[in-house]
Amino acid sequence: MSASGLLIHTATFVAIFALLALGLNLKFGYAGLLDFGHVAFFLVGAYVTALFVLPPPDAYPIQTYAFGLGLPWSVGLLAGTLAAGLLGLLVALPAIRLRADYLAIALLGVSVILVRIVQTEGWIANGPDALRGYSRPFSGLFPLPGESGSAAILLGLVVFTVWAIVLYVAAREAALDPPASQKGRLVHGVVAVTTLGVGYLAVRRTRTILDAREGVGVGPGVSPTDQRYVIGTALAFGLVAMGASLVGLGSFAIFVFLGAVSLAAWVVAGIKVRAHYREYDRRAVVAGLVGSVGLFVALAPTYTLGGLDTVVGIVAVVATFVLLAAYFVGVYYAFQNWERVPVEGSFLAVVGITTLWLLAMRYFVISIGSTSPVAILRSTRDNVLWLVEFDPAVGASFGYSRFFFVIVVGTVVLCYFMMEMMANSPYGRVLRAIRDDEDVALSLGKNTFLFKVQAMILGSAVAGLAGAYAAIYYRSLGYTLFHPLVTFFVFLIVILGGKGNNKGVILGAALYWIFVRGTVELAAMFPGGIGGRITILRNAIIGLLLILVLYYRPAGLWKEEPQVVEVPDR
Amino acid sequence: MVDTGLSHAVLNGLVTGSFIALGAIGLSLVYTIADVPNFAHGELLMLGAYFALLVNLPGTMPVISYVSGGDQSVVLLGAALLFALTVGGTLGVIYLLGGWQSFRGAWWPIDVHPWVAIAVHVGLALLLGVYVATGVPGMLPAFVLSAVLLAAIAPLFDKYVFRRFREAEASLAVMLIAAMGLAFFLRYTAHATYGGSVRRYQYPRVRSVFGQEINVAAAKYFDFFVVESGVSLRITDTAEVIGDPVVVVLQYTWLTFAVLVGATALAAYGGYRWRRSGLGEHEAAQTIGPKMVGSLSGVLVLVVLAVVLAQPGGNPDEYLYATRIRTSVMRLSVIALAGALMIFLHALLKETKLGTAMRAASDNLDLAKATGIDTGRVMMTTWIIAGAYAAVAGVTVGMLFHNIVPSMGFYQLLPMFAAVILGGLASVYGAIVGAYVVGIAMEVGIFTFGFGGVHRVSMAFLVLLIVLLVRPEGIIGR
Amino acid sequence: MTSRNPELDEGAEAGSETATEADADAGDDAAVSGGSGVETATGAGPDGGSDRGGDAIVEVEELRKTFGGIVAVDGATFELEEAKITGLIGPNGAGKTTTFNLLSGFLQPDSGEVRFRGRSTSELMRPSAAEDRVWVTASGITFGGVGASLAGAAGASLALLGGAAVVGLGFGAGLYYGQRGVRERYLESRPQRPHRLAEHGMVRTFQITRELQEMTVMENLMLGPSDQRGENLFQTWFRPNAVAAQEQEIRDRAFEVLELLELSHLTNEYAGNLSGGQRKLLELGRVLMVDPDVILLDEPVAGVNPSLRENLMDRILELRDQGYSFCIVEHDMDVIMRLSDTVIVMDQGQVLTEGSPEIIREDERVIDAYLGG
Ligand SMILES: Nc1ncnc2c1ncn2[C@@H]1O[C@H](COP(=O)(O)OP(=O)(O)OP(=O)(O)O)[C@@H](O)[C@H]1O
Ligand SMILES: [Mg+2]
Repeated sequence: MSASGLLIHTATFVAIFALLALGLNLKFGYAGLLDFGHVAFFLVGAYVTALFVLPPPDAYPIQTYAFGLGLPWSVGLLAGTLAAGLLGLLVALPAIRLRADYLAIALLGVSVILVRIVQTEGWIANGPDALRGYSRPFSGLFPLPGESGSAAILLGLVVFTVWAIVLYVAAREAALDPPASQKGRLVHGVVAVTTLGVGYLAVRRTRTILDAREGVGVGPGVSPTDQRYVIGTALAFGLVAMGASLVGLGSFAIFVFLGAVSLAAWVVAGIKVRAHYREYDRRAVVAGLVGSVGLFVALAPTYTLGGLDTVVGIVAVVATFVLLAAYFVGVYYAFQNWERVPVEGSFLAVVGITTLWLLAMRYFVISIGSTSPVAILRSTRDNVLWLVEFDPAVGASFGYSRFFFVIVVGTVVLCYFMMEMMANSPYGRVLRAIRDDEDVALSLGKNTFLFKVQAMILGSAVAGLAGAYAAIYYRSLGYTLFHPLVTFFVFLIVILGGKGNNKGVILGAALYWIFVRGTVELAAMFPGGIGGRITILRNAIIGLLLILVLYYRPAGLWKEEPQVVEVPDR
Repeated sequence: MVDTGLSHAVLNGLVTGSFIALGAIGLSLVYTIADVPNFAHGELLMLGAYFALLVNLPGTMPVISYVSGGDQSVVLLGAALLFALTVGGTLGVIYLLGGWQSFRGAWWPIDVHPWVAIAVHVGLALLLGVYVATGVPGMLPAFVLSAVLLAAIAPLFDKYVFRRFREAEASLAVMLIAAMGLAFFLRYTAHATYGGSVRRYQYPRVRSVFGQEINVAAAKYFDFFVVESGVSLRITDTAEVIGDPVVVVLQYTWLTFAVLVGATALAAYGGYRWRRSGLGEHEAAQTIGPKMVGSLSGVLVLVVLAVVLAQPGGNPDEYLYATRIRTSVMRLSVIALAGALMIFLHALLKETKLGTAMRAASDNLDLAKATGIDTGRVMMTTWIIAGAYAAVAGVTVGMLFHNIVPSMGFYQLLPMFAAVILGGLASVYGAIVGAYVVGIAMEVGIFTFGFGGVHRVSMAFLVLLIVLLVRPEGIIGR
Repeated sequence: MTSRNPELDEGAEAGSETATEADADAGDDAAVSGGSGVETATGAGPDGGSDRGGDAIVEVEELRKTFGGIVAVDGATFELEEAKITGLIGPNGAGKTTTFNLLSGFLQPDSGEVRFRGRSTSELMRPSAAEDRVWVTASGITFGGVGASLAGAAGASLALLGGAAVVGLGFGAGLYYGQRGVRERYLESRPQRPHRLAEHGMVRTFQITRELQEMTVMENLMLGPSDQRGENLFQTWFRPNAVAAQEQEIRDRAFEVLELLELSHLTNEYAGNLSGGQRKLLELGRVLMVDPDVILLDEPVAGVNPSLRENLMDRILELRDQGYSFCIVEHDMDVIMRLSDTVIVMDQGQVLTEGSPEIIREDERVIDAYLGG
């Protein structure tokens, strides 16, 4: 798989798990409900969706399932979401009053029983075997560009979605980072260019808004209503792309609109990273670079020499382990003596910078795999314009995996906004009050039962939606995909990212999958036996991480942000 | 041919309940004293099952397989390794009880010369070591090694994980998740070390007990018949393949049956009353309490009279009702083993100062600390017991189900938790009762609904969910 | 202070109490035993004028509560008068806090009754008739559906199918009432819905402060007002401007309260970081934000500095004059004597005596039991 293909693949997992984690965050992060059976709702969403879209069972003699309604995917997704929400309600009604540990074990029990039922009752969803045979939505229309009107509409939709997201983020960044300095102006120029000029508008507009608000002192953000032009522009681009596709210029539209947005995404990501690590000097960046190169060096022997079947190979494996051990001892030593290391900033920040370096190198450098200049250029083009595929015959095209990725990310963004609105509203306030001390909420006249049940329904429904997407993505559903322990991966995501912080939760999902990918790739470097153990040990490390994060950083990497209000002068 | 029925399911439930109880004891002790909802407890069972393999099948285990001779024996170096493990484990347990001081007998209820204590400690360790090292591949040494190792390992969880969270005043939710993290760590480390393939113990099926050759694993049939003239019991041993497998048929007329039941009840009640009346107000909490005396005398009378009053008979051809219990010596001995360990625990809790301290600590740790109880030692003892009992439970599960895999712990954890919650978290006794309720519910449940064994765990949960539904505080409650 | 508007939350989902309040009251009227019968609209705050005072707004009758062997409250009987401040004093362990817990529905009395505006609080805390209807319908439909589908799976005829559905329906409805009855009668150690009392206008504070540690002072206060628009998810998502407008209103009120409590400088501080006295103030502020008719204060000024204490007392008296009723537990006699219109003295769970502060100050028994001779 090409590097960008792998990126899309992993990012789709991130998005699905981000949805799942957003659901858990609502229950656990906000309402404090310890749902150890979260995966049950994921399962229900996936299977219900699949059963709704599958053709009637008679059409598939090779497998048995309860019913197949053959309905369109939109109905299937809705059904999966609602079914999970309904199960959430049914489970919540009796269980929600239980104290934390009883609730946890009862919900865990629900998930265990559900998985067992799916496993043993073959008539529901093909028993211990996988349920498959449903086609993916719109899969016939891909790769874009296509001739038909529906293909054009889809292209328009995709262009609209990605532009809306990227422009929105870009506009926010512009608001936070006024182009006062030389450097700032340069950055904003780049934003303006890569966003086909709209970035210029974004910067200008946010400046005016912020200038107008000077002194009134409403927080730093710019509300969505001030950014209606974002939606407008995205809509315009979508329509243009649709029109272009209709008149046979689809490939060109893909290249222009999606290529540009890929670039813009890199730029915006760059700005965000820079803003996040603003206070760190060049030394920290170099330290990160050294750290990441060090890891690659440590892995070099087995990567280049491989195999346990030769003496050289064995030596290489042993050498790798020795080097890795040395590397981690070094890291630990640096952690222990952090004051004496001549780098500004916290250890964790430098680890973050190292990780970014690692990812960048893995994505842009390691993936090239050839020394011919043409190959390097081509691979770099593919990597940079990650939303576009280049097919020698058609030119720029847009495949199914990218389409699905866009859809899921669009859903995550939508869900994120709804969750944020909820969290910042009186509703979220009551949930947090319940999490802190339910009696207080009761004494103030809040019907905590109702609030908790609502949180349970909503969180479960979001998990169900994640399940529905998983059903599309996996293409076949086996009960092992929904093992009760999956819940705890989601817990790790929520706790690592920061419970009660939706952004953090998405970050957690990304980190989790980066870690999973990393171990998979690490395992692939080693011969079979060792590699297999590495992937198993991954879960052991996850357990350890859970404990360490809970102990050393209970609020997670990205703490819940306090709700600050401006105190008026009187 | 007689079918197995409800009574069979109930007996199976007692067996299941027994090993659940062994696990649940540790879980509930840790829950109440250390305030840890230990989701990693199931993994202790799993580790116990694997550690026993070190003795039973050293040739198949990592590391020790290099010093084994064949699957089921060890060379000298291997024996030395096992010896070292056992001695190290035993001494480690004693060390955990209170540092070097505890070797000098600081934890003993009586005052002795330090050297006596040291001699006893070291002697015990050496004795166990020799027993295990020379006992390959027996199951009893396997039990011992497993229990000793886990008794030494389980307290480390508290020392390195849970104590820190407790001191940071972590919430129950945080504790739960941390415990789950530990469970992940243990389970997948074991998985990576031992591999995921199914393992099973190998032990001879025929043992000589009191000079009698008995096939411990072979099924015995206990068929109960109700005929017009009375009841009869037929015991069949399937170990004998050739010839007539019927061992014995006992017949009772209605009259003798009534006498049997009546005498048993009378003996039980009499024993209870006798012991009760002999007690003062404050002695009520004795190990050999009235209830125990009552039940023991009842069982004794039942067995004796059953033998005395029985008339030999032939196979009943016509019966009104018949049911079969299918069991084996091994399954029955699980119940006995669990019973013995429970009595031991009971004695420890009721008779020793340490036990009193543990009970005080389970009520209120801070208060116990304030009254001068060495809570550190109480904590360690708790985890030691939890570890050792979990090991025994794990090996038992391994022997019963012939299925030792890294995931076994997780599925044993759920019924154990159900048992503890059913017991209302109030005491170990609640947990034991809860364990038998859960065990019987599991077996009777899958019997009644005709489910496969996969749904055992589901049954345990169904019971739990129903109980929580009507009584959110558990059966006994706080 | 703005009074709450019962119309505020219209469009709430089915089963919400506010929307169906009138309904419930009508249905329950038969159960109201004596009392004033006709009542002011539940949501509306007191409309001022101390001349209205004098009627009993809360009546406590033969209240009794034991914990194991300890009798915490032993047949206490007293009344709180409307638009008056009632002081509740007594030695440590006299059962004052327990009485508050019983009044506010945080504990279930062993026997006895509390009446709020003439209606028994246990009556008030029961689900309203409309809510019952929702649950019974849901439960009935669920079990009816289960029955019908079971019958259908067994291949029953249409008539049998209908029968199964009806039986399931009945079973579901019965199950709901059954479980409720069993729960209330045998299982529950405390009422499940104390929030209903707060909704009806009686709110308490906690003696040992229970601030929401992970929330800021401002959020703690803004939590208070009942029936906020934004507590409804639909409004949050689809009418954000209306929600924001109400938030602004609430925030302004919160600032007023902060000013009064001299906590303005701590607006954005986490409540967990406050000092003991500040927590007391926050506790008081939260209740003021709720804007109830009856306010039960458990040692409101313990640990509060003297000058602020004066301010608070003035404020409480002012509120009393506006028509709010108070019950105040306090060990500081100066505070009690200055604030109270009536003082109730408790000892060992019983009401020792009650009367105006002047009388209490002279009472021999009180001096013996409490004030010290
Ligand atoms: N939850 C409880 N469990 C057991 N006993 C309790 C409980 N709550 C209160 N008690 C007991 O009830 C009695 C009355 O306690 P309460 O808190 O009502 O006293 P108080 O009048 O508020 O005292 P103080 O002035 O010290 O606040 C005390 O003896 C106390 O020990
Ligand atoms: Mg008090």
